[in-house]
Order: sequence, then C-alpha cells, then structure tokens
Amino acid sequence: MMRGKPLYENPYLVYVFSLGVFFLGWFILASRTTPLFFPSPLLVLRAFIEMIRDGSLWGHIWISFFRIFAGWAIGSGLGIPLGLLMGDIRFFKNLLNPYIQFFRFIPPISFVTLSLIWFGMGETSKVVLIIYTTIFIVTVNTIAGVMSVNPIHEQAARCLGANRFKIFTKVIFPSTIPFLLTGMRLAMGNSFMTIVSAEMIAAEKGLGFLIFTSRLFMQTERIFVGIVSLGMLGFVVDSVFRFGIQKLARQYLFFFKEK
Amino acid sequence: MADAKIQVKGLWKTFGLPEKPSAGTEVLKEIHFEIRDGEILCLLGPSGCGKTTVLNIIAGFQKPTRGEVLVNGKVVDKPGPDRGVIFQEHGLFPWRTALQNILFGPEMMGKKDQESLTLADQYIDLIGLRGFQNHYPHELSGGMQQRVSIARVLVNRPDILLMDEPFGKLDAQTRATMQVLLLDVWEKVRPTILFITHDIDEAIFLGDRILVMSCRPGTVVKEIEVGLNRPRDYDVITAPEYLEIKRTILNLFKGMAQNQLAGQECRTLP
Repeated sequence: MMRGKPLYENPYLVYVFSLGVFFLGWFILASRTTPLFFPSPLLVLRAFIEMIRDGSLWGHIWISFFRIFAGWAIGSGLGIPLGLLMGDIRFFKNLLNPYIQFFRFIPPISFVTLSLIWFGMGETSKVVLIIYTTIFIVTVNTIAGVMSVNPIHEQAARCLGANRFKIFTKVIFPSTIPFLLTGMRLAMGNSFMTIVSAEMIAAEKGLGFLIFTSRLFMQTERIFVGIVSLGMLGFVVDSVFRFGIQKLARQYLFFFKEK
Repeated sequence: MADAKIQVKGLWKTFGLPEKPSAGTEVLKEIHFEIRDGEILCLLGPSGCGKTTVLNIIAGFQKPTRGEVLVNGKVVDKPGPDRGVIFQEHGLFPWRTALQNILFGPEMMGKKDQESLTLADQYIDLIGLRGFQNHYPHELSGGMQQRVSIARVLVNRPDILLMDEPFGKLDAQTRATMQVLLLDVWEKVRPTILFITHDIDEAIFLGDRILVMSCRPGTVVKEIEVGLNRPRDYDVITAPEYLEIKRTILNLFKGMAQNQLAGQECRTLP
C-alpha cells in the first residue's frame, strides 16, 4: 500500500466531510421538529427553486448587492484619500481624528431611522448607510498603513532624489495598499450587516426585506433562503475581491512576506 | 585641504529633549575629519558609539546639535542624490523588482527613457545581477539584495557613497564576496566612500584610512593610514603590515574595553 498523506490533510475531502456532517445535523434536527420551527434542507431547497423560477430571488439579491457595492465603493473612494491625508499630514489628523474616533463606535444601525428621514425611502438612504459603514473602517486601516511605512524606505527614497510629493505617491501609497485592502475587506463584511438591518426597517426589496416579511407569513423556509443567499453572496463577492487583488495588486502583498 | 570631498567640522550631537539639550544624551562630541576625493574612509567603532549618527548627518537625515558638514564645499542641509546611502537593512522597495528598484532614482529625476534603462543594465552587469533583474527583493538572498541596493544608488552616479554596515547582516562568506565586489566597483567607478563598520578586518581590508571611534560620547580617538597596495585581494590579511595595523586597533579597543569595565558603559542608542 502507498503511504500517502493522511486523509485529513486532503482539503477537498475535509470540505466534503464538513458539509456532510452539517447537512446530516440539519436533517436530524429538522426531522424532530415542525417545518415552521426548523424546515428541512429539502424544504428550503424547494423554496429556493420556487423563488428562482418566479424571478423574485434575483431581484432581492441584485438590489442588496447594488446597495452594498455602491456604498462600499463610494465609502472606500472617500476613506482611502481621507486616511492617506490624515496619516501623512498631522494637521488633518488633528482636525479629523476626534470625529473618526467618535463615530467609529456608533453602529450604522443606529442611523437607520435618521437616514430615512434625511434621505427618504429610496436607494439613497441605504447607500448612505453603507458609505457610513465603510468609510471609518477604511480610513482607520489606511492611517495604520501610513503609520507603519518603513522609515528606511523613506530615507532611501529621499537620498535617491525623491521630493515630498514623490515620496507620498511612490513610497507611502504603495506601502499602504495591503492595509487599505484589508480595510476594504472588513468593510465589505460589515456592509452586509448594515444592509440587512436597513432593509428590514424600510425597503420593498432586498434580502433583509425578504427575511423580515417572510416572518409575517410564517414562511420559515423563506427566511432560510434569505440567510443562505446572504452567505453565498458574501462568499462570492469576497472571492472575486481576493481574486482581483491577486491579479492586480499581488506585488504589494509581498510587503508582508518581508517582515 | 584642497581635495577634501567631505569636511566634518566640530560635530556635536545630543539626543533628548529639544527644549533642554543639556538633559539629553551626548552622542557625538567634537568630531573633526575630512574625506579625500576618491578614497575609502572606514569609520570603525563599537556599537552605540554614534558612527551611524555621523553618517546620518552627512547624508542629511539628521541635523547636528553643533558643527557642520561640507560636501564639495557646500553645507549639507538635506539628503540628495549626490550622496548615495546604503543601509544595513537593504531598504529595497518590496513591491518593485530588482530592475524597478534600480530605476527608482532616474524616475525621480524625471528620466524614464532608454538611456537610463541602458545605464541600469550596465550596473546590473557590474554588480553581478544578470538574470535576477526581474526578481522581487524577497526572492533574493541577503547578498543579492545588497547588490541591488548598491546598483540602485550607483545608477544615480553619485560621487559619494555612504555605507552603514552594509554587510553586517551577511554570513562570513557572502560578506567576503561583497567586500571584494565593492573594491572592484570602486576601482571602476572611483566614488568617495564612507564605510561604517565594527569589524576590524573589514575596515583594514577596504579602507585607505581608518578612523577609530570611542563611545559615549562618540569621538575620534585615532586615525590610521592603511598603506596596503591596491588592488587588494584576500591574501592581504596575512601580510605583516596588515597584522601590524590590526594589532594597533586591537590594543586601542582593549583600552576602551577596560575603561568601560571601569564604569563608563557603552549604551546603544535608539
């Protein structure tokens, strides 16, 4: 017999095992309760197919994704320059840091109602909430990135003829990239939390809305559909983001390997 | 002296509270010396004696508390591409390949042309990096990384190289190779070199002159002319003149060590 690696070191086998145990547990749990309390995987799957057939699921997923993506992109677009500015220029840090440190601790959910009053029932109010969610995480991470620029790199650049502006664009910004990407990934995760709460309170569509209204009709299996869709959407979005980083910004991540 | 490339005049440096310099730690005390055009001057001393501070002041990274440094007759007030610095930690940009690192200097001068590419190519050959120019720094060995950082500085055609224990972190064999390589480059390009080290053999092997520093506060205690013929090869380390110089320096160090034991401890400064 060949002496290969032990089975538990094969990642695919472990995935299959993990999923198998999960669904088995789900089946057993569902068989001992009513579908209203805990629907079986098959029931959830049927609701899933049903909702894909009538087209409603795509609508919910798409609108949630749109709100998250728009708010996250705008929030990152604001947070990155803000973080670079605050990290590099002491004046801006002193000017803005109190606000960052104050609002950082106020969860976006607490602004849901205010956002509705200020920006109406439309898309703007939800996108604004996601911008709020994203901006602090990205800013704080970017500042941390600027703070941890290797001083030797700055010195080297100065004696190679770089002026202040070039040091900023050619040394500080590239050093910050791994940090701001990390901030963006974290912000994406938090945006999912925010969007569900916002859609539960005020929306006519979206995964949060689906989960909340299914409650009214006692459609527990549809709640499960909403939850599973959220998880899958998050997984796909994060995978695409990571793939993009590997393709476009790979050399900047070597930064970590050096240390 | 007419052909002095660098003049270090009465350098004092105190670290500590800027508003109350008397309360700080005195690092350098009354440092005077000159570096002649085209020579290799080694600054030799124990760790914490302030030799890096001297280099940082000449490079323009730090300001002296008193005194001044003149390069080509002009007072140094900021770093510049005329003085290439090579650090102990290579300081290469990890997101750039070896070639892109070497091209950083020309890029900063606004030169992104074929000419600088050709020049970079020449230095890649000179420094023995052919075949590695598209590697990222983390894919290179310590010796290779230091080669890249030397080429990155040389491509700016500085007339001065300031080297801060550049081979200090390399293993003994790689270090010997790099020393021979440095002398070879020096023969071809003829820059003025200030080389900082705590390794006596390295100082004698490379230097035209050696300045021995004592510590806390750092000051130059002896100047030694190394009369060994150039070009030097590694056999020189068994020559009687070489051993004579080594003996002189060892005796100096022994004296300093006894002073230290007598209570003047050498502190490593931040």
